[in-house]
Amino acid sequence: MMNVQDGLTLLFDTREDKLQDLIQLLNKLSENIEANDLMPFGKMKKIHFARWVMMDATHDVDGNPIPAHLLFESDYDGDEAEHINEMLDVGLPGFIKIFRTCKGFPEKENVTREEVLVFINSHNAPKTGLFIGAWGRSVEQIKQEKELYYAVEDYLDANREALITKSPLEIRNKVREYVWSKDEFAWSKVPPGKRSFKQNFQYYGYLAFLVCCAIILLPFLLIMVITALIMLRRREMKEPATDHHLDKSKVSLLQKHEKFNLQNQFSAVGNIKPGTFRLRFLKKTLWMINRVSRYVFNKGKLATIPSIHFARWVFLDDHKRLIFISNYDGTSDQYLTDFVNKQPAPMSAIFCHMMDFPKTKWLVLEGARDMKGFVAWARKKQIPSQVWYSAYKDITVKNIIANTNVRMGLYGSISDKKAQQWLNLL
Amino acid sequence: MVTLAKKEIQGLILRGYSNLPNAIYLLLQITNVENAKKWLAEIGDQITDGDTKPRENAMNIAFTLEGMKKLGLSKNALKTFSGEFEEGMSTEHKQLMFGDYGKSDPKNWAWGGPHCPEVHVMLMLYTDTNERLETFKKVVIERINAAGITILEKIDTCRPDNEKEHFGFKDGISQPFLAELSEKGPADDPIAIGEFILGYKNEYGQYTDSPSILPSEDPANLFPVEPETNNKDFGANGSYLVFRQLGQDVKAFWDFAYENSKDKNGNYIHEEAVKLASKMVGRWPSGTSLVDSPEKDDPSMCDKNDFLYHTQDPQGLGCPYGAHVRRNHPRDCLEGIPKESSFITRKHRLLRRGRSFGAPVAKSMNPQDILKTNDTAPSGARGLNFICFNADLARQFEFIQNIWINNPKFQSLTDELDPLVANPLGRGNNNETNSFSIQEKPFRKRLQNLPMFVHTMGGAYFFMPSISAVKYLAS
Repeated sequence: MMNVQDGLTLLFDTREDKLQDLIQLLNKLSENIEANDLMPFGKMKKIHFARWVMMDATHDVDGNPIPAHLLFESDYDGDEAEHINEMLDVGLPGFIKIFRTCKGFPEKENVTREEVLVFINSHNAPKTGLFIGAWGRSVEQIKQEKELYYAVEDYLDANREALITKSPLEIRNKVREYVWSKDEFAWSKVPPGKRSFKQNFQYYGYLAFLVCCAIILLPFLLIMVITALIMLRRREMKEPATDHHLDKSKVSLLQKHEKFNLQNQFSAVGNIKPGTFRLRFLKKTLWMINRVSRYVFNKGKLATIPSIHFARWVFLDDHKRLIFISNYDGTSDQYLTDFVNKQPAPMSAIFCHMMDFPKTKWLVLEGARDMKGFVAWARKKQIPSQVWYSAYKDITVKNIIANTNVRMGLYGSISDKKAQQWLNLL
Repeated sequence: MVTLAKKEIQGLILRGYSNLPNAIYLLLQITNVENAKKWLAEIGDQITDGDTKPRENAMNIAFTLEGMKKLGLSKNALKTFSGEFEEGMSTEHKQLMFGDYGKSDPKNWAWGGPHCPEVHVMLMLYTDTNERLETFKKVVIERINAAGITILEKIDTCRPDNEKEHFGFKDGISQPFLAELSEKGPADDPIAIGEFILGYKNEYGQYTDSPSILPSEDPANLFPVEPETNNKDFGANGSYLVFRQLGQDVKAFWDFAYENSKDKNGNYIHEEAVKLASKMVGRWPSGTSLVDSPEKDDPSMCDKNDFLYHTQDPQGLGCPYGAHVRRNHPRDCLEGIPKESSFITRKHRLLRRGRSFGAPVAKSMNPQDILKTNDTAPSGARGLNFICFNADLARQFEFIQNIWINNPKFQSLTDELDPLVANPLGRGNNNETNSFSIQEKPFRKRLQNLPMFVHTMGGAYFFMPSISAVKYLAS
């Protein structure tokens, strides 16, 4: 069976009187994210990425107050309930301490695990758009395949003289012989789980259903899209031009949170433009993204962007705000530049419904192509993560995909040409 | 193509002064502001602009943020310089980006580091003959001394006749093609001039953020109006200048090349050593690309610069994926999507104006002679004064350093840094190995534990203002 990944988002209201406690707690977690005694993320084997983010109190588009929040997000393997249970198995004391700074948590000395679970479940934000870079791979698989990759590289180095005169296929067979002789790589004798019959049925069945619906509804969909675009255009024309001013001190503050350079996190939150039209448009767009990332962009790239591990869009505060959460390779500077250089149209299509986004034309034109405007907007909406965890800090999405390909080359009998292609991966 | 205000732009931005091979850079610190302003007003008239090609000598001037502050540029004007400029080159964050650890740590720098005296001004002198440089230098230094300005460093330069840098490779071949500076030039797509000079449109069709002053601060009406803010564009016709003084360990480089290309009996093979060194650089010593001539050097193609990586050499069998020049200017090879890659690499170009310093190990710069020479010069005795211009430090210079040179995951590579110029300590955390793969059939050759060939000896960000802005600073 193929592993399934998903994202969990929890949203709490924080207590003003406990703000300092919360800041201290999160700092403490952050100091030793893997192995602290409150919430040791290193022991949670199902988590790819996780973060705690404090969100300041603010206002919605109509000027109504939005309270300060605490947001937890995780990208995990398998079943959601099991994931939450695993977190509570090792991190219960931490959750209790953190929840004591949030509104609505039982104010008594001894809180049971069940009460914590109820609190979590009642603050679970509904899932919306999700993109996954390394589709189907569990944390364990990613880590194992990394070790396998290094072992193959080292074997080639150590035995270069003996191997270099052999044919590609002979070399591949030698490598396989070596790897499978090692106990620590015994797992690699079996290929990774493929979709089970049931999973396949669901996957392709749903695709067939979508295609059928699209064909049957095509004339109707076309009219709907055209009407929506015209309605959108009328709104676009009325909108004022946006500010290009980049807040330098905020950028430098945000960059202070980027200590690793190989991977980083990005969270950006903002109000959705007023009126139901924009919200409905955005909902449909995110619905589309979910389908497109499952059926089209499921090989490591979001269109031509090859650096996103997980990206998610979640509605907050009764659909008044949208948060974009992602874990990616490189620095935020590069990440934002990539958006503009590589995929300005989809970026505009998604984010143009948020306040202050650079003016678009027919949904996908202009908008994110305005480099200065887009970067200024993204930095304005971006918020730092107080706690951020990655299960594999030193591997990029491209590494993960390549490492799986190295493993897959071990199976079955292949031609000399294929063996050469496999060696080119190394 | 736009019309450049060449009389306003300092000459060095528009020209490399190849006809003026002798040069020296003076790093200055202002003590008495009033005297310094007088001095600046005097030399302001002698700053070489970009309009006429100098035949005998040239002089250009650039300022650090501290320098402009000292000269009295207003607080709100200082705030309008880019964040990267304001932060400087030697903070912890920048160390992470540039790999300035160990020997390259800013704490060890000769100038520009946290423990060094504050640099305010850089004066750059160029002449045709060495004699003229001596006279020119003497006159200039006398006036500097008379104004009570401290000379912190006199940085010598050298420009070998064969246009080679110290490792023995022809340098400075690939410069962005600028239609505004070319008389005929290739029919190639020119890069927007606004990538290098403020006040003109960049590759996004926009004006890069430029330092500005309030209209009330410009009574003489020296500067154009910035349309978005209605402020006066102090930065127009100026550019951010990056200076990194890099020491080159030439012996270590060629020793490494010879040691790693010995035959089975342990003998050095000269041709193989040159080939290995060229694989690391990505060009042969003559300058010819490994893409155009994969097997041996072919000086007849040394000026040919219109090659492509992905199109001509998708598997890196000629020029390795991680070679210095393939990393620094990847042309069409990013992500294996040539069109998108060419589009993107245009946004990360630099206008290079640096020169070497120190005597070559061997005058011929021939590897065999380098190997034979008993070099007793101390570390840091020779290297490159890396100087470049760009309009956006973050998107251009810092991006190239951080995302291409110092990125162990550049493209499809794993745990490899730029084999020539990156610090093997990487980003300071020791869990990265520093290797270099040379793509071959049936499988790659991998060199391990590359030593440090280049280290940072000093550096700072400067701003080279327009001629009017120099006068403004003097007033």
